[in-house]
Amino acid sequence: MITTPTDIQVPSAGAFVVPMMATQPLLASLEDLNYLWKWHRPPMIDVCPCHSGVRGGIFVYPIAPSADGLPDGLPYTFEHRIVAALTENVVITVYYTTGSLGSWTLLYTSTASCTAATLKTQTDADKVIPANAVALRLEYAPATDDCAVHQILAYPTPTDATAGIKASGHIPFDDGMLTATGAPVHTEFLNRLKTSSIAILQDRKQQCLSFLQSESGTPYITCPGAGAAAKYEKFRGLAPVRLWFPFQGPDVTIALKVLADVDAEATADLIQIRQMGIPTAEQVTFDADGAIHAESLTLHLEGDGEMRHADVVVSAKTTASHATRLRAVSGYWTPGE
Amino acid sequence: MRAPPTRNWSSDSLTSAITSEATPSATVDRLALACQYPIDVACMPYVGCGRLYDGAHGRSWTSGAGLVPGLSTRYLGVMVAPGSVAGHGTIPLSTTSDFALKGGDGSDTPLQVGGAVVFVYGFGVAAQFDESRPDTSLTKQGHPYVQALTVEVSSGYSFRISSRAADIEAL
Repeated sequence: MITTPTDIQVPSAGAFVVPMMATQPLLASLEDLNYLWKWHRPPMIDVCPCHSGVRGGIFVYPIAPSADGLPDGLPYTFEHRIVAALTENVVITVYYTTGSLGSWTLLYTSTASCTAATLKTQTDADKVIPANAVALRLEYAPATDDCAVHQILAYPTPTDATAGIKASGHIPFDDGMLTATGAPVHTEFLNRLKTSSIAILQDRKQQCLSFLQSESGTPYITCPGAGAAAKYEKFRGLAPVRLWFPFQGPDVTIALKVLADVDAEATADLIQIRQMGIPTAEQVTFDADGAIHAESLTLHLEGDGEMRHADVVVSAKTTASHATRLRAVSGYWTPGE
Repeated sequence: MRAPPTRNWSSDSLTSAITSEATPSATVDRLALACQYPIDVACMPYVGCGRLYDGAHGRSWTSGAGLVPGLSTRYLGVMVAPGSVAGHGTIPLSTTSDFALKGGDGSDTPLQVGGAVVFVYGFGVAAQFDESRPDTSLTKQGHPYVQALTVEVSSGYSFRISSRAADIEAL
């Protein structure tokens, strides 16, 4: 039987002094592997869109889904936090693509029943995203008036573990292998505790940086803004943001994906993401050509213990007399990198 | 009693085996080492995501028959790992972004908080953040959950776990 605990099972230190042929605490720890399959839930999407609220919005967001999506069937739960102007329905439609941003496949549609000027959290469970999906397209269509999208949160919510090696490398545990009469404690059980735990830890990448606004037209935040007299041929930054990496470092490397475009002219190296506040800060640049571009950025962490952090700023610049439109920034951290 | 884990994944060899011996001795240390991995994965705090957005101007939009409340009040949820008992939010202090904002009325609108001090951040210049807000109490659990939060007047937000259960055996 494959048992999936509801809560993490933590044996006492004294439990490791075991009598001969005892199955505990090893059995409880192996069951914790099944717990991880179901309950390790770092968000894959955690983003607060910028937009004017007029007539909902359409967003395109780069993602890094689990390798255990299709065909293993690891599903995600989406939480859409919406405030609508009127008591009305907001139709939410989510698509994914595995390649071109012009070719979308429907993931699901749902309808959020909103009360006027009141937060509605629309929860949509069990949405399986293919492992090779590279971006989502999220459409919010209010029935009669405007709505504001406050946050999109998506996290893995698998059901109980099932038998078989997963694409991520995780191996669920069947307790029949240990609880049968006279069953031996095999070396593989010890190694499995580590390899299966690390497989899930590194497969479910953690969203560490996010920014999102409309996927077409003039977005809410542009570079430069309307009527701006200043030159924007040097990088100009959004307000910085602090990323927390508790107990990690001294360096971590994050994977960044950026979607941006321009109204005309050259597109090369118009978006910059950099760490700030330390002399050794590094930076990466991205083209603003309407495609998703990926780079990795090494962060040199400040602070100690649970206060380990890096301050990051996202910037843009333009060619003369033209506008750069940053559409999305999606950053992921893989523990150990 | 077991203290919450503080494992640094960067300093650990994540690909090596616990043991390569065919018949390893069943030492307490070896068993404890192996059993610690799933507990650490479960109970280590998740990364504190830095969310960038525009929530600092407080403007509402009137359109048609309704009024969309301004995004100066930002509703969001954070996923909290097992064993967490308190968390702390961080927002950029100040500030005026020098990345021009085209607001809903078509004008340039700076992102402002409090005294609206202008910072133009250069290389090597420390950012300033508001860390003065009180901790948020969390519900200690043996599995993760989403904690709903409301953030007022900010242009970015991140959330870190500031306190964890002293004994995770009791989750």
